[in-house]
Amino acid sequence: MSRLCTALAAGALSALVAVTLAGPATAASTPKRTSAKLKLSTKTTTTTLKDGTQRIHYSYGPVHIAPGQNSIFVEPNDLKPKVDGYVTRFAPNLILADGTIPRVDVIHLHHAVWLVNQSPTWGAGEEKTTAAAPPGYGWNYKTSDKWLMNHMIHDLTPTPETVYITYDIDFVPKTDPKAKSIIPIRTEWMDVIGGGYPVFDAIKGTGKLVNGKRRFTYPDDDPKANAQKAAHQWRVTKDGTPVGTAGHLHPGGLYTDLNVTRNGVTKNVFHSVAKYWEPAGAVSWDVSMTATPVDWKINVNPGDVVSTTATYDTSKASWYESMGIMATSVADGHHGVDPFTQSFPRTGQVTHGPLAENRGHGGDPIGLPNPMKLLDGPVVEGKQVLIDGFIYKQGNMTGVGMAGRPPVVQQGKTFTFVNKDAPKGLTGQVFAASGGDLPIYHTITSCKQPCNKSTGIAYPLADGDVTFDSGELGYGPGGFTAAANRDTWDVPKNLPKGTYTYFCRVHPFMRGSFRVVPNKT
Amino acid sequence: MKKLAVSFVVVATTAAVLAVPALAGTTSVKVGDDYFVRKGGATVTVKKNTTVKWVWTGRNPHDVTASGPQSFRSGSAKKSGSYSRKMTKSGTYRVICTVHSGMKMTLKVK
Repeated sequence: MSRLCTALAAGALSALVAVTLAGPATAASTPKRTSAKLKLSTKTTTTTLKDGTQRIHYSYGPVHIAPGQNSIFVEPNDLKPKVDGYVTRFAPNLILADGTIPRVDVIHLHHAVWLVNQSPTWGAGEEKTTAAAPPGYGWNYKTSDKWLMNHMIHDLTPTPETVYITYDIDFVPKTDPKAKSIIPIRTEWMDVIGGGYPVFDAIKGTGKLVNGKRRFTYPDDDPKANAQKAAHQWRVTKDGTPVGTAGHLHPGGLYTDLNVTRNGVTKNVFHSVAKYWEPAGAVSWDVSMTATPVDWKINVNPGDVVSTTATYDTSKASWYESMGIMATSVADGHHGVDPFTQSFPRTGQVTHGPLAENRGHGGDPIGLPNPMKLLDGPVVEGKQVLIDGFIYKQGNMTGVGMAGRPPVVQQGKTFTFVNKDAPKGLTGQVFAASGGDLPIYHTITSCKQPCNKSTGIAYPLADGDVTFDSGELGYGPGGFTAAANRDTWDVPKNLPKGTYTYFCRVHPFMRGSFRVVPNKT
Repeated sequence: MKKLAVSFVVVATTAAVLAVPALAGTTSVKVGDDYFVRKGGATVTVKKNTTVKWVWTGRNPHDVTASGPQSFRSGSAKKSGSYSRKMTKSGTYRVICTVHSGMKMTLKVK
């Protein structure tokens, strides 16, 4: 608790600073956390900056969030400038109806991606990196452009919520004399996977051993990744100049790399590092990513192949449904240096300091029992344990009496979890406007015993001594969902005897246990 | 503080003389969406042996999970009803809802 109070007190003075800062935050001293009292408008507003650039604040919503939802939606988005021009900076956020920013351990912005003429152009994850074009460059904008909003906002509790996705665009109209000298850029969406719901699992203990620590790099260390390799490569067809990039990672992620391959030789051109403000290290969304400095400009030639990799820390925990993206802004023609023969900066700085919404770290004792010490619950082998109303109906850690005791299974036998909150036939919709009930996905994911502390962005983790994960039980639209597209999971038969603790990684307040006993036969 | 202690003794003595059992009564605590007592949380102070009754008034599921001189809990989250607990040990209890981060209250038993 004390570290939390200190962080809050330290952050009180720095209201607005990190969010309104135009340039990158300096990494020299530890930046202060933004104030929890920061409020943003739910309406479109325009302010004029000192150099005459317009800063337009858009507020997309209201977006109604169903209890416990973790679904992806794509919707038309008409909140864009009224005249042609250039976007020179893009800063995203997520707010509640009262203008405050929700706690990340309650409502979580998994992603928002702004699609322009179906091409992903700007994105936001919980690290909320600001995309700023270097001076003299801007994303070309036409009023005829068709915008779509692709969002996945995750409700970690059964409480429904109303939110707005905000974005501040720095805009230079075509009619502004400054527009004449702006060089147009577009976004090359460098994803380690292409299309659909682009995620991979970085499992504890996998990857390479580097100085005694496990480092999992996707796609290199994932044997399943080869078939998808073509999808994350940009084959350059005309002279171009990448002028900016920054990485997108999930908790556990350490860095992303942008690489250029020419004539069989691969050169790393930018190394985007996750700077964790999180006291527990590389385990939560309390992180900022480094972005390229303004003088980073790399010439690429026809025939070059540009690719990206993402590296996660798999020493202590597994990271499911992880991502690795480097949205890279590119201008036509050559404006920079040859990455194979000339020197250039390979590292950069974070675009903001620690954010107030990441203040709930969790991990405090709260009085829940240690499941290791509980008496046996009922024998369940061959039977079902239901998950209903966000509760594991046998072995839930908040349960009292028999309901809270671990269900028991003999070694070599199994039992089945069934998610009643996401039954077959309930898939949700890609377009939110179509309405209807949404499935509530749950997982059974192993966490280190006793796994009974308070919930936060850094607790619990998928760090069980024995690794298992059910996938997100429930059904969703094909290729466009986090769901496993089944509603049951059989407990592995090969588990050693012992009491296992687990949580739902979609709703991490949900905790439970089961017990494997020696086979009597 | 001294004055308070004295008056308490007087009250206790009076009760004893009247042969009324030392019933400290019941204190109700609101379980709302998503807060205890009122938004932002609160501290509730009761006398030892008071029965504290948490009453669900909202629409979202909540639980009462407490740690302190003793740990106790209402059971897995529910949307309505109540939960009562007689507080027989003095001290400060931290009460949370495990479902909702930030939903908490302090219970002081004197």
